[in-house]
Amino acid sequence: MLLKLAARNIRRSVRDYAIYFVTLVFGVAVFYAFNSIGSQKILFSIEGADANIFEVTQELLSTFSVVIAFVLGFLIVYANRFLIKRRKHEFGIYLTLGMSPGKVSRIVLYETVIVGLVSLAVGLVCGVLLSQALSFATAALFTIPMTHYQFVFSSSALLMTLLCFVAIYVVVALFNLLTVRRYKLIDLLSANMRSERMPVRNPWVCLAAFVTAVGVLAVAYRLLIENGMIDLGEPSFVWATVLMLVGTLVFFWSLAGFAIAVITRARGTYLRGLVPFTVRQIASKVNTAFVSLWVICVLLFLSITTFSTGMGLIEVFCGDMEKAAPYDATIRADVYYEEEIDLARPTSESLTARAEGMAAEHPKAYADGEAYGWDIEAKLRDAIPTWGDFVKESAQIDYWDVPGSTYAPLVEAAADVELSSVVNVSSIAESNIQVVSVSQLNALRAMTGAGPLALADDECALVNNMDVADELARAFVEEGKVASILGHDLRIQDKILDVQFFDSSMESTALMFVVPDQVVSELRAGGAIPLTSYLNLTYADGLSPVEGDEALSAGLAQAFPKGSRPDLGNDYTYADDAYAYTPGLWPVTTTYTQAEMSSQADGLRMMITYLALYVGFIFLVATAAILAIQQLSEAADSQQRYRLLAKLGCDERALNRSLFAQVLVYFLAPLALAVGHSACAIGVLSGTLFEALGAPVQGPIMMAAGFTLVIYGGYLLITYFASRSIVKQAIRG
Amino acid sequence: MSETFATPSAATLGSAAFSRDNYGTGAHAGRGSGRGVGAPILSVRQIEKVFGSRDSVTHALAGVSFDVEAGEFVGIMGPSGSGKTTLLNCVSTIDKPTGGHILVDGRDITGLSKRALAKFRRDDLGFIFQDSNLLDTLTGYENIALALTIKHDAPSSIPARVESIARSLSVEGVLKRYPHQMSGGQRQRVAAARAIVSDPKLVLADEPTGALDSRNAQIMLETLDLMNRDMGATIMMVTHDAFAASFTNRVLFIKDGTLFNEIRRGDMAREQFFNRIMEVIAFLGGDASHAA
Repeated sequence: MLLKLAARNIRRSVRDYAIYFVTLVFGVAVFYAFNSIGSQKILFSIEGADANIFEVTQELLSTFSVVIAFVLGFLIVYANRFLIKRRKHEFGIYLTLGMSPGKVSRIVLYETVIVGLVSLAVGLVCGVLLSQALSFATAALFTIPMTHYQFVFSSSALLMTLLCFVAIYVVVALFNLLTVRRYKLIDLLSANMRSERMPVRNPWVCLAAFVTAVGVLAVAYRLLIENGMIDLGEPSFVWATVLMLVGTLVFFWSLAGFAIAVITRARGTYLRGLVPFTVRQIASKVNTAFVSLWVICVLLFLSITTFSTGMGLIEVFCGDMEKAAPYDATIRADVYYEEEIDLARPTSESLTARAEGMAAEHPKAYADGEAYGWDIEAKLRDAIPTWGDFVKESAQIDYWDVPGSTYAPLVEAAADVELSSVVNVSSIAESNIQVVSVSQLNALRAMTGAGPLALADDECALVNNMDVADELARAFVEEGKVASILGHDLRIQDKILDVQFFDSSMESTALMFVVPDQVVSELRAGGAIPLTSYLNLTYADGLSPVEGDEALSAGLAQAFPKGSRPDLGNDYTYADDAYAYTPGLWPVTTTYTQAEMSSQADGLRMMITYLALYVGFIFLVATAAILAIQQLSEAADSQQRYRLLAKLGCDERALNRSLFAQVLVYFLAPLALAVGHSACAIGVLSGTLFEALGAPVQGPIMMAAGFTLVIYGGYLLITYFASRSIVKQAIRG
Repeated sequence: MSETFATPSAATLGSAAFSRDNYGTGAHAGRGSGRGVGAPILSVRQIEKVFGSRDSVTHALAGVSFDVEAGEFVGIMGPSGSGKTTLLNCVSTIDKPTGGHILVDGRDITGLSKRALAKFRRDDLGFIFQDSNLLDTLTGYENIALALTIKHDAPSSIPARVESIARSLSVEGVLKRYPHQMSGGQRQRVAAARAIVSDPKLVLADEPTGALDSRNAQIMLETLDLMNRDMGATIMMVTHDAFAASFTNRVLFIKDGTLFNEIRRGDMAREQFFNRIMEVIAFLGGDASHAA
């Protein structure tokens, strides 16, 4: 009996429940689909490290799912509370008719369970379908070939979805029980006597508050611009955040009062048609719901900003793989380093220091290196009988650091040039200058088909392809003009070279000098050993990248079986078993291959894209759903007013126009401010971080805009049509 | 409601008798009206309103006919369920009669489309409801101006008209207040200002004093009288209060969906007219009352 009543209640108030229900279904479907990504692996022909992509992505998304579950939980509890509050009068009637409070609670419980079960079932069906669509999207977006399509179902995602949503519904049910139990009959029956008292704020106070809010926001923006959003621990960033939050809250508190004060002064535009009514409707809604508008604005700001910056960062890490990994493979030898030495900022004290250290610690490796003249290829040709079968060409690049010659003079010369804040100039100044010989550079250029660099004996050339260091490199050339290296004053050539010396996930040559061979000979003669060596390979014709990678790793495994060089006594180990044959320094520390780099980039791209979509979607849906529910209940509460307007002779078209204006403004107000905040944050980031990293921002911003337009706009339209039917009913009824 | 309509035959009879005696007798002089008296502003011709389906038919109106001349202040009285509110709803085009015709200023409004009806209400009618029905989100000023803005009158002309009407009806002090900040009497007078500010052909008032105490009721009725006499408004007021009805020029009595009687004030003093009304009410045996 109670169950029947509950079912009938839901059918009857299907209009109130529709948006709530649709949002629940969205939530369940998206939650399932993104948690099932791990199971899509079986669709694709990927092996080894690549298969990891799916697991890592899955793991990351699962972690975020906890946050998502909380957001959804909040949304559901909020929406539900709203719907329950609207039915006080109905509960009052049940109680007056002699139903016990326990039974009323049970009706509400049944309703919650029915809506929960149906939404879970529908949501899961949609989720399973969505995850199939996601598989094809994965294939298309990341150019991973799909071997054979089959229907994918993830029982772990199902279990996780069920767990999360059942938990949320239990909370909702408990919440409802408590709410209903607390009601007093008198309050319930008088609930329909809608209080006509709405917050009326002094227009002058509003005006002052609004101006203050705008001022506070301006200060927040300024602080943010000064901070540059690089060091998020700085007080300026904390202050910017606090001021932004406070400013936004005051903004919404005073917005309606301010707008009324301004608009009513403009009599020419104000006293037209339903404008006064529309303006007052919006104002009263904004005045009562300013806190939720504030929360919605902040959530929108977060989702827009994370979405566009996340997508922008992808391009940094997964940008131009052709440029970041131009060779089929690179073998890197760290040669030798003391643990406390920072490889990125070499500060060898003397020419012989590292050689002596290596000879003392790793005598056999040192002797081996000296015997082969630190030529990695010569060593590997001897160690790997099949070397010639899979390697067509190779070119070695040795990085040398020059003790006693630091970047300091160049940095000083460039002191007047304004640099973006990401570069740590003082640490560069302390570092020894790093050099590469011109003959090695030209050999590498020959391998890639580029012409040789002409370098006079008193010249050097600067190589840089890291966007972060671009400005500094230009300053070295234009202001420094001459580099002092090992006692030679070498004129720096005007043209900064763009060379990638080894395969990597991003372009990573920073402020390297190409010097005449004689300089390197002097280093060598003085007893120095290379800092790091890279052997770049081109695989034999007819080998696919994957076949080449397999041949290389098989050859290395055979030449250096696990534990083959215990004499190195080095605890430098690699977690991945694939590299277990190289526990040492010279000749092989590790390898990078082009295929590996591009699949890593794809994996990262997939991970960030999915994460951004997932988080962005849920946040958007959550905010739009709250706005929609509020606006619909507003339309229902205003039925009396629309009925009156119709009696006074407003035709339906004018009423619909007013309604549309109300929905539009109510949806756009928080969005507009959020877009303002995001524009500031993204603008700051693109000025400091993105431009330095060379990341494009337009594309991701357009994507975020499109994404927002579709979801937000969709909810806006649904809300408009639903409230239109409410008003239509009010007029006819 | 339905038990009052238990004898449709009697109702029809009464209506027929009334129609024969009074219909089309020509000009009724509106007391003190500045307007010329000629063709009626409102002509109600044999309107019927039937509720229900074939099985249980209820005649809320069973052929009512009467005229209202320009500048008249007409009261409609009758016991609960007599059909007086249905009549008002039909004239105000909020409800549609199932038979007969209603002519306003010579135009038949019973066949108009929905949009044309809205335009008619907006341009030609003014409304005063029992519970004032001001928009709670709008100030007094905006509530009055609303009647003009929805007609798309020139915005520049609006402030002067609103202020002048507010002065005439003594509500200039509450123009900036919201309805919940006004007294019941003030609200009702603002509603009256809204009804008349657009200079409508006909003002329809539905129990305008129903929710007021006797003092405020008197002020409200004096306001209506002022609107009628000094501003030339034609008013049709539905009431079951004899005191309220005594402010009009003419009272029509409705019973069981038909016109039962009609009395004119003529040169009678208000107290005299009131007594005449009470006599008819006593004869009607209805629940009409006077609380003053």
